[in-house]
Amino acid sequence: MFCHIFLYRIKELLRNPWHLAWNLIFPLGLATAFFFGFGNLIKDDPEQFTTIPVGYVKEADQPFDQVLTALSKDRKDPILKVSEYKDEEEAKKALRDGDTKGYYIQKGEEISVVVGRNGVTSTTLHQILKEYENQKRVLETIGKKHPEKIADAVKTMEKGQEFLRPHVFNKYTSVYMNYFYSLIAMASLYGSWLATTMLSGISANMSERGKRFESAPVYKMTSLFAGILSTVLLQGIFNGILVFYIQYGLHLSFGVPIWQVLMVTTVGGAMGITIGVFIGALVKKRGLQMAFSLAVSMVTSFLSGLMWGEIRQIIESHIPVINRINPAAMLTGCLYNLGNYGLTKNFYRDLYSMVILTVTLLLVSVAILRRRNYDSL
Amino acid sequence: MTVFKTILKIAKRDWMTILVYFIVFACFGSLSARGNAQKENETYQDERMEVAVIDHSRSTISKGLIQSLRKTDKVLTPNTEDLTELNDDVRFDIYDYVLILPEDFEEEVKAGKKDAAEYLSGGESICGHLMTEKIRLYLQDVVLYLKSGYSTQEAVKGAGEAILASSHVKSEILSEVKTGESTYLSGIFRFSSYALMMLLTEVIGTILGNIRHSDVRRRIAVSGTSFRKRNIAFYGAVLVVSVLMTGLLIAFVLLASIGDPEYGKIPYYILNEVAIMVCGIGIATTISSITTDSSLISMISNTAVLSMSFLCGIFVPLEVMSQKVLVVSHFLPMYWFAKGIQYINDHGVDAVMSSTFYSYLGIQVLFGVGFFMIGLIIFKKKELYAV
Repeated sequence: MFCHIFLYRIKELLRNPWHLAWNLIFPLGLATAFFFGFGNLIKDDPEQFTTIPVGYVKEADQPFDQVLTALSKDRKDPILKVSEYKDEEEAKKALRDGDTKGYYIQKGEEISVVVGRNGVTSTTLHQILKEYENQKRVLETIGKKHPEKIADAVKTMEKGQEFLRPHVFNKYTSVYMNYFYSLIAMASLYGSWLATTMLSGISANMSERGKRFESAPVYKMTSLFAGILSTVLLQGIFNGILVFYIQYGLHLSFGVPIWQVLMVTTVGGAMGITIGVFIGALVKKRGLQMAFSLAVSMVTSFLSGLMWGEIRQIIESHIPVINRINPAAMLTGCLYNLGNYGLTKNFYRDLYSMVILTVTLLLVSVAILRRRNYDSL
Repeated sequence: MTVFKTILKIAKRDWMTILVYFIVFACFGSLSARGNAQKENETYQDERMEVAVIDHSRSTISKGLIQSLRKTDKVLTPNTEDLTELNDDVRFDIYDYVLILPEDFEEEVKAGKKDAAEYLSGGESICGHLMTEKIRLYLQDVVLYLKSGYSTQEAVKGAGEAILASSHVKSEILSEVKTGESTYLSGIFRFSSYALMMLLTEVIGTILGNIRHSDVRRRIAVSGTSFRKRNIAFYGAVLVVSVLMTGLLIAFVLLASIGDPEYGKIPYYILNEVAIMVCGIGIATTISSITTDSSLISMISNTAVLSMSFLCGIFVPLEVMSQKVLVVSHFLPMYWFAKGIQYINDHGVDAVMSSTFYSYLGIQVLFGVGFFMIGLIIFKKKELYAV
């Protein structure tokens, strides 16, 4: 009987075009829109340091020339690309046209910098000038008290001593992949619609088919578990298609073997289904069930970064408890941690949270549904 | 009047949809617009970066370094020492830079070690480069003083003074350069197009879908009211519903942005909003001519509006999008809405009204009329062939 119900639930759900459209085609369409919208940012990080084009208007030779020359040479990606201009008007024109980010100008002994706007690039140009002035001042101070040390100090400055090393993790995927993780979370939570449809088909208070079904001599729990398993299987397949499409269709790597991603998304799909079963057990009106499912999936997906990538991390650093109870954030966090750090404690924390939430909601829903009786329909 | 009232009643039934999208707009739109808003300055200011410092050393040099950083940047103590969490904070812009000073930091600096401290900066970012250079400069000054025979206290003091003195170098902003910083108003109005398009396509689509239901159409056909009168009441009511929903979003923005320095530009933003409203009505007409099923209307609306939002610079800034995608975006109405927003944002109050801005408005209205006509044609054809 279990297998019979299981198969017929799958047939019933697959023959409903809206479920195919919402749970499969819509996420695929959105993934395509994401790819065209900011797929280029995943491959080329916009915050990656690039050489700053800068102008230079000089009156006479100065030690600052050497600073600029040094910064525009000596490495694979030099800090500056310096263009010399005859007068300030030329330099201004280049800045206005966007050919440079700013220009240095000599006026007598004084050197100043002119930029187009405030920001990190302008601060970097300002910092170069500050370094020049700083070194002049340090040499002057040392020269006053210990003139014999000046030569050593100049040598040390020229060498440019390093003190810091970056902490580099073994692997990284682009932060923009977070949008795709949230999309998978949203698609998984859309599984709640599959679950509410499945429940309405076996609940006498929801549909004519439900009345016929509940009159049949079948254990309620058998039909419920067969129904849940069929929806989990379907949602797992839908999620799998989405994952394959992102990895092989759009060529965006999850950074780990695909079977690991599929395992996580299947757990996510099961979580979405049990959320739907829980909503179906609590809410008795079909329209409200759909509204609740939509509200839960959209709000939690937004909070996991579907429309604003940073929001999950902002919540994590200010009110982390929201991420611990938000199902979409759990799944997004799980995929993010897996892709960037591997099987770490944060990954397992999110994975176990999803499993605990799934089991808890399932037990509560079963407790509600098994006691449901009808005096009249 | 009966037709008019009926349309309003159908719209009223969709109060839940209106409420959901209004809340999405008010909460999330506001949140992201505030988060992305940048200040426009006429005078030069150093970018103040948020630097999280974990100081295990608590030595004279580490304290001096932190004090020096405080003068130019915002130094914070993170509430975690977990490196992966701190790394995520840097990658998602909670901090710009994380500096970790180990217990033996001072000894390592004095010994001239290359890895006296560690930092996290989210890859090879420009912020990371700038902060590393600032810290390197301070520590180099300290080492220079130490090597020249100064004590640690004197070296730290001297390095701090040198950094402070050098911060007075002259920097200016060339005011003629277009800056294009995104303001709160441009952000919230940009997001409003998503909410408005969703509202219009779902609510107007449902109204039209209801009226175009075959049974309702038959009953309307035998009514005594003239065709002209009925259509005026019908489209009048659709327009009223559209204006009310647009007004609701605009009223929220007006209240939320009281005191905003860009408040004078609001009439232009409203004009742009009205243009996209016309377009929204057109798209709703087309969608409702394809189907009268509310689930399908909802699905097509979501797919069309969300996709357009990502392709036209509503959720992702136009300047970071790929050129190939932007070529396609030109054929979508929300692109011209985003261009209009960008134009208002980049120009002064007196300079907005120009042929360029009119052209952006005109293109949106033309898209609206085009979609409206397509919708009517599809509907007529379906009626003709009884589809």
